[in-house]
This record gives sequence, C-alpha cells and structure tokens, in this order.
Amino acid sequence: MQARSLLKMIARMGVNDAKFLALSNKAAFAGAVAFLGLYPSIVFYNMLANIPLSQLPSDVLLGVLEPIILVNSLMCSMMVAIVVTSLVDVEKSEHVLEHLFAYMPCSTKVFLLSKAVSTTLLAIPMTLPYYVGAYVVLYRFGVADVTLLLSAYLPAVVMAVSLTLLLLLLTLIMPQKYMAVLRSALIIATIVGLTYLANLISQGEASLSVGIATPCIASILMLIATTLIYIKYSDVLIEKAIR
Amino acid sequence: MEFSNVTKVYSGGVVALDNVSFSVAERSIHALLGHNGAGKTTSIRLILGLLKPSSGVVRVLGRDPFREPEVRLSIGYVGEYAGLYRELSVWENLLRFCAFKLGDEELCKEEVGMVADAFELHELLRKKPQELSAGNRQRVVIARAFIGKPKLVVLDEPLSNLDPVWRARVKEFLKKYVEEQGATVVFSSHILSDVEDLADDVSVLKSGRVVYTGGLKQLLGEQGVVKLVVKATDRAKLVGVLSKMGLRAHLAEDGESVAVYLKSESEAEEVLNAVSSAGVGLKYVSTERTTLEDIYLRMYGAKKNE
Repeated sequence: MQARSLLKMIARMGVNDAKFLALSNKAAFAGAVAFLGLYPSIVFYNMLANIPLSQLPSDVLLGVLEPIILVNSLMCSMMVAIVVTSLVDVEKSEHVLEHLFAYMPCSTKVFLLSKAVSTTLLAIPMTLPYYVGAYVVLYRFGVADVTLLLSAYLPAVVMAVSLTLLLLLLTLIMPQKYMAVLRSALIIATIVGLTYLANLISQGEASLSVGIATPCIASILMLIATTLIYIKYSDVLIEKAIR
Repeated sequence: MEFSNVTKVYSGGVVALDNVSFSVAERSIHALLGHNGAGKTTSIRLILGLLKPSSGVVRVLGRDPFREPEVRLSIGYVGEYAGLYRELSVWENLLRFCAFKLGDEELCKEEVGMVADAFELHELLRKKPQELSAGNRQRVVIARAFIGKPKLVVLDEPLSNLDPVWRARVKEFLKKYVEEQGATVVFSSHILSDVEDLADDVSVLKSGRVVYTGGLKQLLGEQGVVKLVVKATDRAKLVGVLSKMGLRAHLAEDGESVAVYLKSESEAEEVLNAVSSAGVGLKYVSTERTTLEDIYLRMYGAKKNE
C-alpha cells in the first residue's frame, strides 16, 4: 500500500473514531478529556509546589520541568491508548469489528496499524488541556518553551502507538472481561508508577537523566516488542479474531 | 468470482475448506448451501479477503481480495451478526460505515438516503439498533450492504429474521439489483425455498468440500424433477423391483414408504406399472415435484426432520 493511501486511511480512521467517541458516549468522552487534562496538571502543580522554582536559574528550572512534563505526557498517551482500545473491545464484542474489516479498503493488518496511529493522533486533542496547562505554568516562570513540550510529546507518541497496537492485538484474542481487567491494571500501574517516578525526580531523589531515560527506554523497548509481535503474529491473531 | 483448488486450514489444524473449486458467473445470484460447519462462512470470509487461503486461488472481480483489499470498495457485505453500534442511531451507523468505506461525507449522506428509501428505513433512522425488532434490524443491515452500489454483494443468511413480506421484497430487490446494476450476488441460506426462488446457481458444501456446483435448474433436472413415494405391503420386494429397474430407493420421511426421484410424470407411471406387474401390493402412492430441500437432504443423506 502506498504511503499516501495509508495516511488517508489513518486520517479517515482518526476522524471517524473521534466522532464515534464523541457521539457514542459523550459523558465518557468529556470525562476522559477532563481527566487527561486535569489529573496530570494537578500532579504537575503539586510537584512544582515542592520546588523553589523562582530561586532556580532557568536552565536548571528547565531540567526539572522537562522530565515532569515528559512523564505526564506519557501518562496522557497511555490513557488515550487505553480509552480508544476499549472502544475496539466494544466493537469486537458487538461483531462490528468484522464489518469494519470487511468495509475498509485495506488489509486487516494495515487497519490495525492505522488504528494505532490514528489513536495517537487522537491523543492530541484529548491531551490538549494538559499541554495548555503545562505551557501556562512554564510561561508563569518565564521558561515557556514549545520545543520542550514537543520533546516531551515525542516519546509519548512512541509509547502511545506501540501500546495501542499491543492492546489492539491483545483485544483480538482476549475475552472482553480479561481486557477490562488488563486495562484497569494498566491505568493503576500508569498512575502509580509514573507519579512515583515524577515525584522522585522533582524531589531530587532520582537523577534527571534516569528520569528521562526510563520512560524513553521503556517506550522504545515497547515499540520494538510490539513491532516484532505485529510482524510475526498479527496474521495469526487476526485470523483467530475473525474466526 | 472464482475459487480454484482452495484449501483453508485454521491454526490448530481444522480443515474448513478442502480443495474447493467453484465459480460465480457475473450478473448472477449464487447460493452457498451446506450444514453448519460445512465451510460457507469461511468461503464468504475468503471472498472478502478477511482470511488468506492456505493454498489455491481466490479471485474476486478479477483480483486477489487478500492481497488487493481495495476490491472491497466494490463489495457489499451482510454478516452472520448485525454488527451495528448500540450507541449510535441507525442513521449514524449507516453514515459511519459509509464514511469508512467511501470517505466522502456528502456522498455518504446521499448514499445512505438512497438505501433508506429502498428499504423504507426513514422511520427507523433516529432509533438505536437495540430499539428495533430483529426484522427491522436485519433490513438496516441489508441496506448497509448496498451503500456505494457494490458490484458484488455477499450475504450470510440474509433473510433469516425477516417477515414473509420483507423476505419477498428483499428477494425482489436482489433480483432487480442484479438486473439493473449488472451486479453479482453470493448468499448463503438455510431456507431452501428462498434459494429456489432466488438463485441461478448453487454450490453445495459438505464438510469443506463442494459436492455440487452449477445451475439450480440443472441440479433439479439431474436429480429428478418428480418424487414418487410408494408404500407397499412388502417393502423389500418393492426395493428389489426398483433396483432391477436401475432406480435408487430412498426411505421416505414417514420411515416406511420408499421414495424414488424420476425425470418425468410419465416415467413415474412406467415405474408404477412395473411395480404392479411384479405383484407388489401398493398401500399408498403419491407424486410430487422434487424440491431443492429433497435434493439437499439426499446429498447430506439426512431425513427431513434431521
């Protein structure tokens, strides 16, 4: 498939999924956006409260803020992946997925990849409140830097694509109740793990390099693992799901 | 559409299709028949390119649907399950599927309007699928398959939930669609009277193999158009006479009478004369037109009540 067709597919999927999320479950959609916007912002503000920011030189200040923003971005992306793959779980249980496969003019394998990428693109509007909040905070301390936000967003994108793809593949073969348990466990692990990491960084108990490296390495490892699973097993998993 | 020596073995070793070959003529209605597990749904999924054949070739509209999934733009599909979003209205459901397939929202509004007209869905458009009766939901699902005027429509048990009026109307619609759009329809059904009404050709699948493929009229002709049912005082003697005449006797549905399938009414008369001349006492005789159901059940070696 040509890159242009793939991009068209991703755009079509993203727009349709966003519409579906907004149309089908307005309360859940608003709740997810509010949660994604508010929770990381609250964590963010809490951390900042522990640091004498005004006394720090701007390069040190950036060094403190960067991992916190990164960690929070990762959390946002993981949440979006979890929310959107739960939609696929519903589609599977209501036998809609089979019809979507049959109606999409692309292979099922490409469908899943497009879905993973479009899910990540969906993360942009869904996590916008958080990024706006973070930018306002940075602006207040005179270190407003769009590049900083973008550099935090990129590993989050890597994490979101791979996590979504992994969850999609699992959704194909696992019963809905097990997926619900897995998603809940992921949400708890994400909140607890990343909040803990961010706290360590903000209190100076973990070095900044460790703070940045841990989620980045985790994202890359997850991407590699998911890519391998996707290449090697997706056909078998898709066949199992369709059968 | 063509299946050439197609075998499909699922992971775990289950052979769903075993060296299956059949073709579907353009502008025709082709029925896939077979018991549950015979391979009908697997065939349909291969046509849609959702599954890859383990060996052999599937060609749909001249293309390999698994490697060239763009061919799905020309295929409409009605699955075994409704596959509608519970949270969306019928209108939103149809628009969403159309948007996935065609991409253009304005075009989709037009297309959905057209299928809603054809299947009289306007009163249902604002309702959610779970608020509809099974029959109305099935109408929505069938209507969805015709979005974008597909060249090939594949339907898995399309008429099962419809009331008699809508069954007749959908059958009429399918015939008209084939005629006017030059399209091809492939469908599976357990309702054999519907198959007789609708199909030009049939393929009968049994345990993953094709036991018959060809014209429906030809099948009815080949297998005998008249069914002669005879209840005799001595069944063994009757069967002996029939086998001497080169006829294969079948046990009739009542479990006592014997049925033979013949080419014509006059052949039935000849058989009865021969049986009487052989001194077989007759308790009951009837002739009736052979139905597809009779032939199908003979192919499966089953009784009507099985």
